Amino acid sequence: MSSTSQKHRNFIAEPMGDKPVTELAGVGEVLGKRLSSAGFDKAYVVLGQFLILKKNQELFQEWMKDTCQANSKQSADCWQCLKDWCEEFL
Amino acid sequence: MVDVDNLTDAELRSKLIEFGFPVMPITGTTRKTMAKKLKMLLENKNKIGKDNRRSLGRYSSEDESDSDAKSSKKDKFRRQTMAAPLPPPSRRKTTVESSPVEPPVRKEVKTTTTTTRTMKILQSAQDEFDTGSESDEVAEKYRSFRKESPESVKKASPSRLPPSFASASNAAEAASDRISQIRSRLSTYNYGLDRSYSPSEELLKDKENTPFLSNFTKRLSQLSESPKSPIYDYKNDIIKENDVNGGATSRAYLSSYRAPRGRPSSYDHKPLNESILKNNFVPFMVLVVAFLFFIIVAVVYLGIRSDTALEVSATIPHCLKSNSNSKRFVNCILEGEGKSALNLFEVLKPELNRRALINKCEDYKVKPYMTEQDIVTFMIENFAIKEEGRILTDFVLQLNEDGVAFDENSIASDMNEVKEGRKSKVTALLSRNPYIPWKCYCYTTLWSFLSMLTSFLGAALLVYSLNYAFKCYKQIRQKQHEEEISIVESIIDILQTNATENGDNCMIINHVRDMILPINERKNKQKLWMRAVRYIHENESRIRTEEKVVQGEVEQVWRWLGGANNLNTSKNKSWQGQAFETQVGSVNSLPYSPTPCLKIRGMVEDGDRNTHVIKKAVLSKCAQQCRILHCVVDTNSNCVYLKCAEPSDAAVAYRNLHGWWYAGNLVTVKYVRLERYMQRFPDSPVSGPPFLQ
Repeated sequence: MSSTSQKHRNFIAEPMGDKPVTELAGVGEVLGKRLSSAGFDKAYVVLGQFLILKKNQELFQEWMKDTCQANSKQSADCWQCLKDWCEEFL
Repeated sequence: MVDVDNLTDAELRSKLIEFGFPVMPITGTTRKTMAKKLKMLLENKNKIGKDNRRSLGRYSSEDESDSDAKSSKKDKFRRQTMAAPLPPPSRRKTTVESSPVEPPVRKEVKTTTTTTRTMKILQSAQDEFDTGSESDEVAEKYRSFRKESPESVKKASPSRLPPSFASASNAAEAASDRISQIRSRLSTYNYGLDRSYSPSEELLKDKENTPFLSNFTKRLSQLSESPKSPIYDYKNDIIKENDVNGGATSRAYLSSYRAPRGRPSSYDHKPLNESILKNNFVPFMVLVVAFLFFIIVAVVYLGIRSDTALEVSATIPHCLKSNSNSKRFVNCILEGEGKSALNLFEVLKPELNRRALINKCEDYKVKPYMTEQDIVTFMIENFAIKEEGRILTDFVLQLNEDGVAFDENSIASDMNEVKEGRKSKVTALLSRNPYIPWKCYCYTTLWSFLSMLTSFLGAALLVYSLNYAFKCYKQIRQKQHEEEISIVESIIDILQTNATENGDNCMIINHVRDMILPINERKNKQKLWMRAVRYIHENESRIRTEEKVVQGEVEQVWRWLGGANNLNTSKNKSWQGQAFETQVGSVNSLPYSPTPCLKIRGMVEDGDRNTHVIKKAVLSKCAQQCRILHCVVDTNSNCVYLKCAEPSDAAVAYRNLHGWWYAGNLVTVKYVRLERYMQRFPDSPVSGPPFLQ
């Protein structure tokens, strides 16, 4: 990926702490609401799912599609964001 | 077909493992995804599943019917067109990798192939054609073929068993990767081989039963049918294929195949060499042409060098009486005079050359030129020409006195020059481009080159050493200056700390010196001390130098005029309490520590030299509670860097340091990434003990 969004950079700039799920790149208000209703209200919960799927992009995107009807760009953004965050802080 | 949705977590997991899928935890949230994945895998498997089972059955039993083999072959072809429709036969490696469903299937096939293969080879050790390539089917055909006519095949030497066995088990692995795609081609191989030996009915039928052959394979079969050597083609093909996938196997196979045949080993290489020549014809020609060109240039150049022929008279106009402008010896000559001058020059040329040669190569004291006098003597001695006047006339003709056309340069412009001695007015001839033998030429060139190099190196060395010396000098000056300043500072410190509100605040200078300088350095640093004293005398307004009688002796003393030690409190380097709460759960501390490295701001001030004090303060503050590997006070960035054994230790240090007052400044701590830390301090210890205390 040549350039990343501001949201992406903001997210990977610091530990995620207690950030809500909407702080993740690729997750906007709508997706955030859907994720919250599925129980994924914090970014770290999504991170947990990401880790459970062993950072596998295919599976993670599949999961996002199932859970919140994310399109492939949104899920890819989210996956990239979490992956970069993990490289930085995990 | 299993109902994926009703499987338990464990079953789902084991199913996935069966398909060679990486093991992942099956939880409430991942279950759906994984089930989907499994369904996809199952679907893919169904496409090729029958085919697989068929092939397994086929491999496991030796005595199978022809019809079974045929139908399995059909299945193979169907599979080839269904599951992997894209790849052409020559690119099968990529297809194997790209299909995600392949691995588990492949594994099964592989194991069975290997075992049956071993069996087969043990059974038919003498079977020459069972060379353990990927041609399972070939092997099979031959086995059946052997049964029909066992005598015709048992020609092979039995000693070939071990290598063929080894290569067989090797090749079987590579082979099983590509079984399905190879199938079509194999049939053509079979055919080629059949032709060269006793063709069996079954195999002929086989050929007819291959409607799925691609154009490519058809072409191949034509190739193998060509009268040249069908077996060779077949072999060559396999070699090529194997080279794509694994050279070692193919070579092993090749050697084991070829050796018993007693074929010349260059059989494969000869056409290769020819093709290299053929393919690279143009580059070779270009190379040759370039080579010839350079040779011609060299020859021409040498020819030019040696060509010193003179062509004179044509260039020199004759004096015409009708032309009033022409003057003899200035811009024209009389007829006949040019010729004699040329003769003289021809005579002188070798002598001039000889002299130049001697001067250049043997003895530089010998003059390379000939003066007027020399020429006259030379002519008289060697040619016994008595007419001095005549020679001189000829000679004069050649001279460059007027700078007009009749000097000798116009006769042979690149050959000689006329040299004029300014003071003595002696005119001389000099060979400008004498012919020099190679040895001498090389020697002189080398010599001049070496001398040039030496002088150049000498100059460079000189510049470098000057630069180095200058740098060293500057460094020493800087160091001395720093030391001086530090002495001055400590003098001021001492005077300040000893000053009291109502005392007379005097200190004997020598006593101060003895307090600052250790005994063994006093002599060495006498000069430095004098400078520091002078510095204080000139630049420090709060200190006055006085003379005072101390215990009966007149001593130089310093009197402190500044206030009493009110500055002292701010200089007190110590912890002065906490500014805000940093314990666990506080908003000021992170819930966990991301790295084991810390960067502490606010402890080091500009120009601080007491780094050990700061380090001690940091360590005393937190080394009791946590394990610290590395601690550095960086005066450039005014930070203290701390590396702990574990991130949890760093958290302890963080809570102990962050938000404290130190020497009047608020200390702030931040986490630093480990990579950054290692970049900054590459030699910091990675693990302990020892831990700093």
